[in-house]
Amino acid sequence: MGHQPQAPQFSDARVRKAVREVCALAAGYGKSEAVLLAGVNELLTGDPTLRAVALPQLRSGVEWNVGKNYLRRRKNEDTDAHEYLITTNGLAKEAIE
Amino acid sequence: MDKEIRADAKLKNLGPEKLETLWRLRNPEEGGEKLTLEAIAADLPRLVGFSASLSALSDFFKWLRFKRRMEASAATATQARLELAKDSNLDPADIERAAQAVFTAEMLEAGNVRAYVALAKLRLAGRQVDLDRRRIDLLEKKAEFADLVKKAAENKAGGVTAEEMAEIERKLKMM
Repeated sequence: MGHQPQAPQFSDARVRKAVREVCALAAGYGKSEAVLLAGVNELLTGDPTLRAVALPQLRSGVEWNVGKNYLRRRKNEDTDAHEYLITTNGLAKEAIE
Repeated sequence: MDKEIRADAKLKNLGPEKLETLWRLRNPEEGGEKLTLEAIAADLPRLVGFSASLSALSDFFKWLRFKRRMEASAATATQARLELAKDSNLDPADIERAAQAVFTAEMLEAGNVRAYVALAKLRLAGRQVDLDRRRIDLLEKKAEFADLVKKAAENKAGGVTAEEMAEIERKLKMM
């Protein structure tokens, strides 16, 4: 019986940073959860379809950044979904790391 | 003691020209030779003035690929925004929302701007239809209420008092 290759695991700290990195690119556009999930996985593994970071870990990373005021949340009226944008605090945090 | 800046952070902060040079080493034009990470690492001090580990270089190239894709999506969204701005019936907030939709769609799957613009216009037109429908519903409710008031007044001896009329007007305003 063959076995599936194991996706690499990433620490919560690395995921939090990757979330900020995704939001810092094209900073004027909000990033939906789906964009963040694909983006974080692409940044960390090079493959957007790989789910090394699953939704619960991503959400926890997003909430941590929102709580620290590194990201802000807004609601998209068309899709009713939340989008995330990097704040000036978030950009500053990225610049010093 | 100052924290030393990590090599991948230095790489990500290089200017556009240096980033393009490094990108071309891994993604050469047709006929060019694709360099290995080891070869790039060996030549890095000459190219950018500092060295980086293979893992830092590998992370950097993942980031650079993603950055380019993100920038291409943002450029497509901007193109859609310009396209929609030609339609003077659309307000800036609607255009912003449409551009955001294009950006998101582009990031999730490579798309076609014309199709997105057409979709955005349909969505905006759909919203206008919804608003019109809601206005009509409201007008119908007001008309029904006015009919009820009229019937009540006709059935009541002495007609409607001034206080009752004020209450009716207040309710109408709340609709």
